[in-house]
Amino acid sequence: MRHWLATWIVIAMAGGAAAATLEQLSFDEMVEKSTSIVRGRVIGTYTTAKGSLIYTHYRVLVSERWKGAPAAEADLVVPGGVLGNVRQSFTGAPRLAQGSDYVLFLWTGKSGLTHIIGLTQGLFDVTTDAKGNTLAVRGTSGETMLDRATGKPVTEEGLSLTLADLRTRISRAMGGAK
Amino acid sequence: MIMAAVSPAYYHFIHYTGRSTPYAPIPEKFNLDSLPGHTLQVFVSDQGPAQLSELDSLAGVVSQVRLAAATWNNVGTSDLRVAYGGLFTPGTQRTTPDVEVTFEEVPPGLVAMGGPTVWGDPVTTVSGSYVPITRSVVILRNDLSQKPSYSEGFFGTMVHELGHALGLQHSLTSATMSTDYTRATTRGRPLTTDDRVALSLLYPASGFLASTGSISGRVSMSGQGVHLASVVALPPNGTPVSALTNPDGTYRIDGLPAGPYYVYVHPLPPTELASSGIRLPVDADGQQVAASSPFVSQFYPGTRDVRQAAPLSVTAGATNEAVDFAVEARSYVPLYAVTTYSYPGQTAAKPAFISESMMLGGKRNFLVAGGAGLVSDGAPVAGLNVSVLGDAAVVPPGGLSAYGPDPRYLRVDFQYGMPSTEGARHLIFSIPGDVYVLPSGLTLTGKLPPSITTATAAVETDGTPVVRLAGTNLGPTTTVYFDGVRASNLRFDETASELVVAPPPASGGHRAIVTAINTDAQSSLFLQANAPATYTYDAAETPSITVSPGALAAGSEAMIEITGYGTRFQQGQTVLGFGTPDVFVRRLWVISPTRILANVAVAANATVTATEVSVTSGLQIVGLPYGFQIQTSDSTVPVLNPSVVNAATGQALVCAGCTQTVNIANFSTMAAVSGVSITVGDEPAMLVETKESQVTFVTPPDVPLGPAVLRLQAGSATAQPIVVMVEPAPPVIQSLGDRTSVTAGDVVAMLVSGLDDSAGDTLPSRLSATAGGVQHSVFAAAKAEGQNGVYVVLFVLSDSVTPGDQVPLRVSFDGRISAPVAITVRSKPSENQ
Repeated sequence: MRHWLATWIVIAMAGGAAAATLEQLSFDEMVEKSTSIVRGRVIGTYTTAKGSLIYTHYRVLVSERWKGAPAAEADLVVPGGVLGNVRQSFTGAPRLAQGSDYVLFLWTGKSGLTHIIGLTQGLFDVTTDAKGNTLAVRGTSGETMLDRATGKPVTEEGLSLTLADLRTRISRAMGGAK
Repeated sequence: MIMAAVSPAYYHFIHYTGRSTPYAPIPEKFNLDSLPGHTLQVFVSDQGPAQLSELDSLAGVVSQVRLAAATWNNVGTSDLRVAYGGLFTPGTQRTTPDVEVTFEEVPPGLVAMGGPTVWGDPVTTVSGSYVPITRSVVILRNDLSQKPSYSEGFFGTMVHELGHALGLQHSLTSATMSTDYTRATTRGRPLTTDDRVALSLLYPASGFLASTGSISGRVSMSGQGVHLASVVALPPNGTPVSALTNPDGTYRIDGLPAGPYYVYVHPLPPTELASSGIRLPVDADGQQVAASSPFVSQFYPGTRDVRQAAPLSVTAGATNEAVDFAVEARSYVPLYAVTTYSYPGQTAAKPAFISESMMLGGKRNFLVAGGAGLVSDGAPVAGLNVSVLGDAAVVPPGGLSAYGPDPRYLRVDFQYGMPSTEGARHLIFSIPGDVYVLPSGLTLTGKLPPSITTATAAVETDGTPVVRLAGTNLGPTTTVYFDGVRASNLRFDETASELVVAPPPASGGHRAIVTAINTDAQSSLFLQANAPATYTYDAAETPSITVSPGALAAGSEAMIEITGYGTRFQQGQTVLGFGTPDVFVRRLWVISPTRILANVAVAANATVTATEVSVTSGLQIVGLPYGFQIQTSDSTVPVLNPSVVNAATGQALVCAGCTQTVNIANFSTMAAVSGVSITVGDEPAMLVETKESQVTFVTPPDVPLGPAVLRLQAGSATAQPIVVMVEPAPPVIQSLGDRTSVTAGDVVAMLVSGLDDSAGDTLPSRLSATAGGVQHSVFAAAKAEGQNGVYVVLFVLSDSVTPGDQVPLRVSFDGRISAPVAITVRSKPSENQ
């Protein structure tokens, strides 16, 4: 049994990614660690500098909120952007499109900046399938990540699920966290 | 159109100029000419992490960053030097390219990020085109409470992210640039051949490509080129080198050490095609060039069975061409991202180490593997087989099972196989219709990892403070780290089974994590990750520093004096930094534990700003925020070039009584001014000649060996002083024995003075001879009879020397080079003459 516990300790350290080293979060963990979970549309962007880093801020008009204090808008940051004549770019950092609809698992730190959980893990595109179902899809083609415990793709966790299912799972996870 | 002649081996951050063949990959890399001394400085934010684990410290974190920088710096086949540059204040404006390590508040799920962030416009040179990186960053978590800096995981992440910052992408060869899933490197063996080749292809040192071989070919699927297939050259007993294919399926693996290689091709796993995986190449319009669809892996020539594979023999300077693969499409990648663990104690160690001695007599040892496609429904996937390339260990019948304590993992039993040396071995995972290779998935070793039970302060009979380490599997070849700083091994006490080391300097009260690493790369943290050995330094006053001068103009070359209070400066352990890459420390002398002299250069285009001065001595870090000011350049102040040349030899070397030449900028208008004076070590030097931009002088004969301050006054203008190192005079070739005309293969005898009479048997190894630019080893040196202080030095003339009447011959002793004498080298008579 001690071997089993030790394995968990080691595996939980880190998963890998290119310029970013990510730690795989399960859906329930994302719900638990998020400070807010919203659906919304990007209505504007701007950039700021913090120390040596440039952040692109995305202003999101919130249409639905499952977690967090009520607010009509969310302001979230992604590392990288253009400020003055300086362009910074981080491999793995997502780009949100103006006017697009997303479900966002967000985390606000002590600095007051709000990030997407796990760089890209908490970002879902909202789309409609051929049957007219509204889907929440994490990433686009190939955006597969490993479960940190099993090494299997996260498709078992549901990379693509209907918005209704997403609501149910969030609700269930939040209920389970009580 | 930009043409590129760069080698496409390995895989860097790539740009293409078009979407048709021939594809000419253009990598992103630093412009070495923009880096003083070809040195890329790595700075660490003075903000530090906000939270640390109980046993961790900022000094510990910084020491690991410093060790990671040194790891890449030690790649001798690369011309890029990488150096920890000290602390910096975030937001400091600068011009020179660098790498910044910052601690940021990052969301859950993100551990670290690293890579180039700012680029210049593409550059074309005679050796190819590239996109210059002007800034890279490594972002670490602000909260390191769950990831202590002394852990293997932190160090691995740091080296990996720093590799990205230098311009490297992922490889799939269990290298440090592989993801954490398959990475098989440790602090004891931090880089693989793939990592070293990757860096060396971006920044090749002279002769690198000529000393290695290549493999090239094409990967196709139904006749079409496969883009971003990973082709791997796998030596049976070494670490592999890989490359990714171009959009037309062509590939080329350069930088291969001579020897046999299996070659195999496999598709990128889906983890690498996620947005946080390999950054896809972009075309001239900035559009990404997508990877081809998955396919079945295979060995060359066209087999999934490694026993049917034909190893290729690679030789230096040659290319094995047309090593082609025709692969079959499949809808998904069935097996990937495999991690192996072993259990030397109660804690899982990664990568897996298996002790051969434990397998003798048919006893089994095992590893545990996790990954996609190994286990299904609590059992190994149907048809799975695991073998070890070379059969150094074998998996017995029934040796695969779901791992009892957690059946989502695979247990792989091993028995002792063919007699074999220690080292990394490659695992072959076969499933019906496909194969997966995990390079270095298993390391054979002779014993268990070391452990440290006690680290006790002691004092040697001469008063030297030491630390005595007791534990298991320690020995004279064990490497010991205090946090990330290597301690000096003094001796191994066989009687007490204790390793005695000199601890690196640290501030009073610092608690260091002590780690032992054996030559097989096993670490004491394999056994003691949760309770590592510690050593606490005696309490002492809080250190501080002052800096003089506190300001220099852009374009300056000058001496800086650091005075410490409570500091523990130590030569070889001390780094002086100015918080900006615009200030470069050319050389540093530790005069005492509380005094440093250094020659620094301020870039001509440096940003005018205040910066942080820091001195890092082992584990002691003393910072002085805004302690240094870069000012606008001043063309009225002469600037001394610290490379002071010996007029007789042309070598940058200063010696007492020798004639020297110093080049001076901003001097031409002053050269005619009377009153030019120079002092060395506060002794006036005799001037020989004053020219525009140059003064020749004689170093005072009484100046002692060691660092000395050189000052110049020109009329009313005073140059910033510099430090020169006064060394023994260079050797002198008195005469050439009895033969001044020689042929290749002849023994050449020189009568040389200016050597070290106490050198004894070490004399030949400290000498070398250069004839016609060709360096020769000296095979004998002995005192010349009847000539006090003169030695007969012998070497055999190489046939690489071009014949001629006036071939220059020099002798070098401890790096000090003599003035040349002429020797006649005759052509070797042909055999039929």
